[in-house]
Parts: sequence; C-alpha cells; structure tokens
Amino acid sequence: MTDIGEIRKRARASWWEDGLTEMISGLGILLIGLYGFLMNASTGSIYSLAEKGLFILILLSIFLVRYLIRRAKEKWVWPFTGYSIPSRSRGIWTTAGVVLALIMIALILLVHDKPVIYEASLSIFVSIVLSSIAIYSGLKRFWIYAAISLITGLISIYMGADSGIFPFVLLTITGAAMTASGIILFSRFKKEVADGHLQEDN
Amino acid sequence: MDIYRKITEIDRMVNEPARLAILTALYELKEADFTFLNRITGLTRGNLSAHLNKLEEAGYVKIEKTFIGKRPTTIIRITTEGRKALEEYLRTIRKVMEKVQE
Repeated sequence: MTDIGEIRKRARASWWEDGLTEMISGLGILLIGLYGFLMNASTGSIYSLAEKGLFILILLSIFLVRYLIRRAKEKWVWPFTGYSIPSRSRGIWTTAGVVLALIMIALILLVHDKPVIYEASLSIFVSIVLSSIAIYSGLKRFWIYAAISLITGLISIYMGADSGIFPFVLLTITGAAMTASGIILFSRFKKEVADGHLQEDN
Repeated sequence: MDIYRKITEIDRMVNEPARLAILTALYELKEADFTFLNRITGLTRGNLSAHLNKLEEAGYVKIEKTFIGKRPTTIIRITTEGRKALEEYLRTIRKVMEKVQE
C-alpha cells in the first residue's frame, strides 16, 4: 500500500536530512550574532559604520547561505541521495508567515523601549518560526531549537540583559545550536555513505 | 453530486499506487531528479520510468534532461494540472471516506 503520508513527510524533510542546511544556515546566523557583539563593543563612528555593515551582512548572508548550501549538496549529498529542491511555501504557510512577521515587526517596534516585553517577543518570534519548520518538516530537532530560543529569552529576562545586545545573544545561541546539530548530522550522513548504505548514482 | 457517482469519475491516472506516490513526492518539491524519486518511492528504476512517462503523457509532470553541476540529470517537476489532479483526487477520497464512516 502507498503510504502517502510517509512519502510527503520524507519529501518535506529531504532538504534537512543530511545536516548541511542546518550547518550552513547556523553558521550564517552565528556570524551575524558575533558581528552584533563586535558592533556593540565599538563606539562612535565605528559603531555607526558597523551598524550599516550589519544590514549588508544580513543580505549577504541570505544570498551566501543559499549559494553554499546548493554547492555543498551538489558535491557531497545529491550524488548519493538524488537531487531535490523544496517548493516555495504555499497557501496557508505563506499567509501565516507574512501575518506573523508583520505582527512581530509591529510589536517589536512598539515595545522596543520595554526590555522584558521586547526580549520575550523576539524569542517567541524566533521560536514560532522554528516551530513552524518542525511542524512542516516533521523534524523533532526543530522543536529543540525553538525551546532553546525560548529558554534564551527567559534567561536574558531573568538576568536583566541589555535589550540592545539581546537579538545577537539569541542569534549566537540559536546559530551555534543549529551548527553543532548540523555537524553531527552531516558526520552521520558521511558515515552512512562510507558504510555503503547510500550508493553514488552514476 | 452523489459521492458514489463521483468515485466512478475518479482520475485513474492518479488512482494507481506508484503514480500516487510519485505525484505526492513531487507535490512537496519544486523539482527532483530520477534518483531521488527512485529512493523516496521505493519503485524500481524500470517501474518508475514507465510511470513517469505515463504521467508526462497525461501532462501531470514535466521531464527535462539537464546538468546539476557537471552531472547529467533527469529533472522532474509536477505541472499545475498534476497539482490540481492530485488535490482533486485527495478531496474525493476524503469525501468518500467520510461518507463510508457515517
């Protein structure tokens, strides 16, 4: 019997199964987080220059992460698993994503001067994004990333962390968790290839 | 429309386990190659090839020979017609199941 639920689940999860997507995206997020720390440590004209640089870094990261994931999969993954590209989100996912992003942007702008609400909103937002990936892909580890984001928010609020630095703390911790998990998954994938569980298709 | 009449009009191109598996996988993806579909559906290469040809003839998938990096690859995409056919098929099956369980 055709288990279409299982096929759908596997197709949706295929983009993440080898760990490369998380490893490279995680590194991108981590890089932005660390840059934020350096930016906050600077003063005067260097700070304002670094602030402009942050915007460029974010745009560059989005482009670079997508490019590197594709190149890395082309070299190390697709020859063994076959090539697949996930479809762009459709219907309810797109609508929910846009509505959520707009609500969160509005909320963050409105509560920027109230550190507790600001930090809570930001960590909830990141957590919801990661939970959506968990629901869509059926991959449980995204629930863990979502929990990490929430816990980071709670700890920051408890410790009274500076709201200026908080987004970068959140990015650094979430990015580091994703990178570490991606490295483990990719090592496992490479081992499967080495053990002959996945054969190169010629 | 009477649900029992509707089931006789079900799309037979979709109502076949192998083709249903292929369309379901492609529905979730922008595109995939032959090896990926072979792995995810568990069909043999010959079987997969035969069903892909039928789906292409019906206009439900588009098959294209191209290169991914330096590797020659056969890329398969679900068409809008294929997408609609699968949605309609699943809707009908769901309605029939509901009716049967009543």
